[in-house]
Amino acid sequence: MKKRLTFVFIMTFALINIVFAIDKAKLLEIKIISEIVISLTNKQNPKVCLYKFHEYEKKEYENFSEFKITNCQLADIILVKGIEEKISFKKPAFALDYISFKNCQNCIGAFYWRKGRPQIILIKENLDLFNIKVNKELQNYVVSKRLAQK
Amino acid sequence: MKSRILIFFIISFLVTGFLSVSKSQEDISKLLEEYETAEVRKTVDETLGKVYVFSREDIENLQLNTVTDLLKLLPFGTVYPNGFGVLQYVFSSASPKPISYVVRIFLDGHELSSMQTSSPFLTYDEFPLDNIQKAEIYFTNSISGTSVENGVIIVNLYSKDPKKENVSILKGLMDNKKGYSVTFSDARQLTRNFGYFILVNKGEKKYDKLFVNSHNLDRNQKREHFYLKFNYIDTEVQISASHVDRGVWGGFSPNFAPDYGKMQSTDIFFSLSQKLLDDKSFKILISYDWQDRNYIEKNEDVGVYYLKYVNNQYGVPIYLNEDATFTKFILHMTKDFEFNKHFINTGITYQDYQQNARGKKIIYPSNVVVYDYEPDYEEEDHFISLFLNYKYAVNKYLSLFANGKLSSYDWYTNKDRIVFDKKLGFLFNKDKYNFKMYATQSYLPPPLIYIEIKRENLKPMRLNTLFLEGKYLFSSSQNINATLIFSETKNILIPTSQGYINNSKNYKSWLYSLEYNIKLKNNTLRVNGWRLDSINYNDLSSSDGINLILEGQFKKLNYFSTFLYRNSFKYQNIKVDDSYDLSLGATYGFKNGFSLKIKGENVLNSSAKAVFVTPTTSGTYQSFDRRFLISLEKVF
Repeated sequence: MKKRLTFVFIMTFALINIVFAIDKAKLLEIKIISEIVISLTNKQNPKVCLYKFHEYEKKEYENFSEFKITNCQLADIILVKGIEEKISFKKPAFALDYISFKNCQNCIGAFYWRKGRPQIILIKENLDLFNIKVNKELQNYVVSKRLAQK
Repeated sequence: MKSRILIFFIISFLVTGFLSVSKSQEDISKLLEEYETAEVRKTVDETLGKVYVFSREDIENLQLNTVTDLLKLLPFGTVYPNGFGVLQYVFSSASPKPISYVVRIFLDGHELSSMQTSSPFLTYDEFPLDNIQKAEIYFTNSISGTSVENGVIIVNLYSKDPKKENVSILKGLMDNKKGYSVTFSDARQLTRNFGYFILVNKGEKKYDKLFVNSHNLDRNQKREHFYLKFNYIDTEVQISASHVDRGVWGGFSPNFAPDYGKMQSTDIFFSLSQKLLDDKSFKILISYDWQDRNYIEKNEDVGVYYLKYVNNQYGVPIYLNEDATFTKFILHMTKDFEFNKHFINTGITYQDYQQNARGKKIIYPSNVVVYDYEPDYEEEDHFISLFLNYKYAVNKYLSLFANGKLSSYDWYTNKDRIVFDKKLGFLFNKDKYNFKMYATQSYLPPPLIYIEIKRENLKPMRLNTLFLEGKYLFSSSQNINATLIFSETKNILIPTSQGYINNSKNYKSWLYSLEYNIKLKNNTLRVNGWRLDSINYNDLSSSDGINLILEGQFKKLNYFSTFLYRNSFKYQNIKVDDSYDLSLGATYGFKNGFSLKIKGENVLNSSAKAVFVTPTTSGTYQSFDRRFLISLEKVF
């Protein structure tokens, strides 16, 4: 009897039901990134390139952000994730995890987690490189490159 | 006089807590705060029962160093040392002395409790929280969805995620009782898909001795922990090893005064969890636990009254050395289905448990020495359970839910026992009003150790519960919450000289709770008062209590204060006074990654007290000593 019940349940698992859903935390994460990008580009619907993003992550941004998702040549800003080797961009780039932030040579900033807390960081020298002015609200997150590398 | 002190502290909390005000926060920082809160609450399941959440920020600010520090802040009960000196959470009015089997602790979905005693506390009462990101505590009486065995309290601990850490931490702590703890942890995301977290800890905790029947009782402990976690895409591997070496306090001695006693426990586990399918809705958890426990107790006056080793021919042992090895294998699978307004979570759990517990050396009176005494009970046991949790969103305000769990357990004389747990309820959330209500019937199997001692069938305890909770939000930062829990318990286990037996009486109790939470700038205050009224029930510990928890920040200084009040009670002729456990602490963060913490625990030297009664003497003992701690932490 027990074996049969086990079998029925294992068979039930085999039913696959894929639903495109997003939790509140993910929505807020996209909202924070949107706020930062809109502020840095000074555009309401900036053209954004999602560099090394998974397909499902791209879909999340397509559905829940104000961005026009495009290729990196046409983009106003590049959002980067999962970069495992040193890299420089010709356009302003913004890192969305710690590993990309460490490997991106000229990223203007990053949004990542450290010591269990979310952090926003903007690098003064790299902002100057792309001639980006930061508004009052983001000014609190601007640090020098030397401090950011610590 | 003490009532005045209580009132003074309540007013001090309310007034001084809100003096420091920082500048108004900008939109991004508000969003960050909301995001952090949403991340913390992401895994909370409101249908399980009343929930308390402690975030990483709470754990750090409140200087919660161990599991006991966390459980101490819970309402509806008190943390007491049991008869063996092991700190455990005990419900209001219940007896602190026996091993508690109502609390289930999970670390990333893996249950830490011993299969023999159904208690996690021997090894994990002072488990360091340095590897914990957050804790969810459910007062449920019911279906955990993660374990065959039900628990009245489910503690879900979530370990730190390498992706969210990227730091190394070295922490040293010492206290005025000559105790210490040293922890090193390192967590890194090395590649896009691979990350690790490693922790090593060593510590010692010393308590004031208790003088009973011309003997000093000892509950000091030394411990070591090792924890390693790997993440690779959606696979997570945990390897944990813990060792604790501790005194036995009153042990099995009927006069609560052993001549000598020591116990050691080594607990090693391995777990592998995997999320499958595109939407990660199919989860598998496989784990294997190995525990070795060694127990030594000597009492030449009245003997060591561990019923399992009481022999018809030789009598009660005067010396006992038991060596026990336990292994546990768990397979847990769960699948979520979501379509339109329906959400279904279903799964299966299988546990296989083996033990080898024998009296390695037993000395009976008249110098009869017996080696390798092996009582005759089954050494292999199985559990299997199937569960189905269903939730239906009637509209955007109202959800209905129903849970069912069919469990079969097979151990010693309790062979092929099948129980069916059920639960029905609703959640209503509209604007400022939140309501939750459910009715449940569930069964709590007796711990294996009680069956072994009794060597007879013991029925599972049956709990019928009606739960009502109402919450009113004055604003996003201020709310009030009222809860009523009615419970009817049948087949409760009660101790006798021949072991535990089921009592067929119906024990009824009403628990009333009122909670007020406010957040003002950088300060949060939680106030929770409760009362337990019971019929057919002796008060063996406090039945009423108030908890006040204050956390705050002023520039680089974080401070906290907790105040735990428990009412007086009388057991037989022993009167136990009200208790007022006040703890205070502050953390100062320096620029170079150093932080200095100071903490005073039970500074009024008035923590909760437990009663002990022996044929020749009786008295009380404090749960916690007055203790002052200092710690230094370096993040790099």
